[in-house]
Amino acid sequence: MALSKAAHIEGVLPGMRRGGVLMLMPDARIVQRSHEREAEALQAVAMAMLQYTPQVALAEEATLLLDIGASLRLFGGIRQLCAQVRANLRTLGFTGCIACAPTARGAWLLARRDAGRAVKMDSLVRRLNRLPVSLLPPARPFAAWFDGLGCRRLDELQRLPRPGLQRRCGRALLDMLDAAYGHSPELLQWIEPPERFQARLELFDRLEHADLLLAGAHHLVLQMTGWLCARQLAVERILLLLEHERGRVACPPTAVEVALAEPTWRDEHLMRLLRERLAKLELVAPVIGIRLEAQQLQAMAPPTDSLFPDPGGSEEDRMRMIELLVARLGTDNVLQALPHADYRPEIANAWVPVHEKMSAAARAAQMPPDVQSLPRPSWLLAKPLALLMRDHRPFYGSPLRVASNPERIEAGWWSQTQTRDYFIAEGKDHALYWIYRERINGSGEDAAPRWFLHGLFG
Amino acid sequence: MRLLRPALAACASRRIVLLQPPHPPQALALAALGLDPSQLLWLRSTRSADALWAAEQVLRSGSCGALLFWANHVRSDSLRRLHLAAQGGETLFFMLRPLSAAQDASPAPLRLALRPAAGGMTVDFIKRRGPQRDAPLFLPLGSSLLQRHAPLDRPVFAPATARSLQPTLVQ
Repeated sequence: MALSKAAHIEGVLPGMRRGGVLMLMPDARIVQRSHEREAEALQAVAMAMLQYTPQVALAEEATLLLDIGASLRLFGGIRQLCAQVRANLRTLGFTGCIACAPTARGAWLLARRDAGRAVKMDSLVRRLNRLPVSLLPPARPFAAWFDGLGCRRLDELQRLPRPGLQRRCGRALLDMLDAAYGHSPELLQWIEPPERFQARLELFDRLEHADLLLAGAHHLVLQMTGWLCARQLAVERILLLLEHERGRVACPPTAVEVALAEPTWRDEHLMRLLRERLAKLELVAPVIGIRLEAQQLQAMAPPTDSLFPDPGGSEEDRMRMIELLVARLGTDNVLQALPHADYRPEIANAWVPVHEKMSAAARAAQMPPDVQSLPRPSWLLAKPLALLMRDHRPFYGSPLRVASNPERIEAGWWSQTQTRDYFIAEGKDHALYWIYRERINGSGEDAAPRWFLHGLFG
Repeated sequence: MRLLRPALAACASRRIVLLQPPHPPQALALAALGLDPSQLLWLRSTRSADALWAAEQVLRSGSCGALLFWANHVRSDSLRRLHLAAQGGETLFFMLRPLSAAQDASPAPLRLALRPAAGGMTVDFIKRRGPQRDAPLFLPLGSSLLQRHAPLDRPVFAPATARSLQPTLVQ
């Protein structure tokens, strides 16, 4: 039986019946214990812990053993490591007791009792000596006998004669004691990460807003981080499937696919991208479960071998920033310049989404041979603006005075003929505009040439 | 843009981000000014909140050479956040606002009001490090664009530049 803190404050004790609990707390929620879900939860935590060490073992009574002897320096010491593990547990949605010891069984005993960390063997011995005998599973059937003997703590148990203990309680008890005190070696079965990663999370409630799914997505992404570290892979594309209700109103799961330019095995960048995508997502139906799949995998890249980082950040940082911008603003709003080889200015000024790639040679081939010779304004209007005429002068805020020689652009006879004379004009406020006059007029009724404003010099 | 050309050309090796300009920029014109089109990034957004967020992300990542942000209405706490983000990195940050915003307070270390004038442009110093300067500065912007003898100026939308991480002024 397990209680929450609020229940404990109200006075509920382990072993109480359901009626007693309901009398103390009328709005208590009583849930049946489900062993499959507990096993699933343990497996999820084990998978997430694989990012700290490849040696993770499942032990009895919902405990995980991690061999972190080799990971201490990488993660900055034992306190940092414990803090990170605790933060990860909180993200996964569980609480736990963390304990450390030089031996595995010693750590197991300390964690069961929440008795803190012991870094050296003698402090471990001191802490173990204080633990009660009932903590050891093989000793629990003989609890009454130990009580009668007056043997309550582990140090008293150690002082009992070994042949007698072995005859009475069996070999298992002595083996466990030896393992805990470091007198005999231990062999543990490390878990094997599966070949393909697929994780699922059932949500407690039906969620209607996509951004509430972020916590659940973080849970799954942490598991994926651990799996990637264990298999030394980096992921390039992930698929998050949001499952909707089954039954009559069943509909196929909504897929959120996130593709990365640079493969990654850490969770921060993925979570930032997922946060932006989920904030923009509209749900068609309430969500009851989420599933995460890692689709495109690559071997993990080794760390860079240059001593000083580039001042502008690495290429990875640039790609990450661009991905983040694309996730929030949309692919059509983050554009790069790709000038097209055409005389018509609006076609030449082509901006394409930033992910499209073109080789440097192809790009250079599209540029005009002498860029300085073309007088082009810095800003081009999206559509040319027809100008009013006043006193036979084009008018835009003030009468415009033509200030340069004309440039004749005639092109596009294959689609939309453009015959224009471009001028640089100056207004009364000394601002420069790029205007053009249509050379060939369409119908005969409007015989005067029409002027259009096409650009502004900046 | 011609005023900023030397400063932008100095950081041409990294990307230059144009955020929410009033009109589509023309890549060939900027190439004529010396900015490589492959390094330009044009961001546009419908909402000002998205634009502010994008500006902050660009400044925080620190992987771009310069950021030019056109904004009409920005609250002072957003300005302060952007200023802090700009100080934390190496990105040149120029903010361009309409002249009416010259009266508002701003945390930028250098604020200039630009107006076109015959033969160049006049630069009013609204705020700068050191003593206050009231006399406007006239910058002649000569260019080979015009064959005739004519002045060259900025267009009508001359904004008040609220600038962080100030480079040296154009010589």
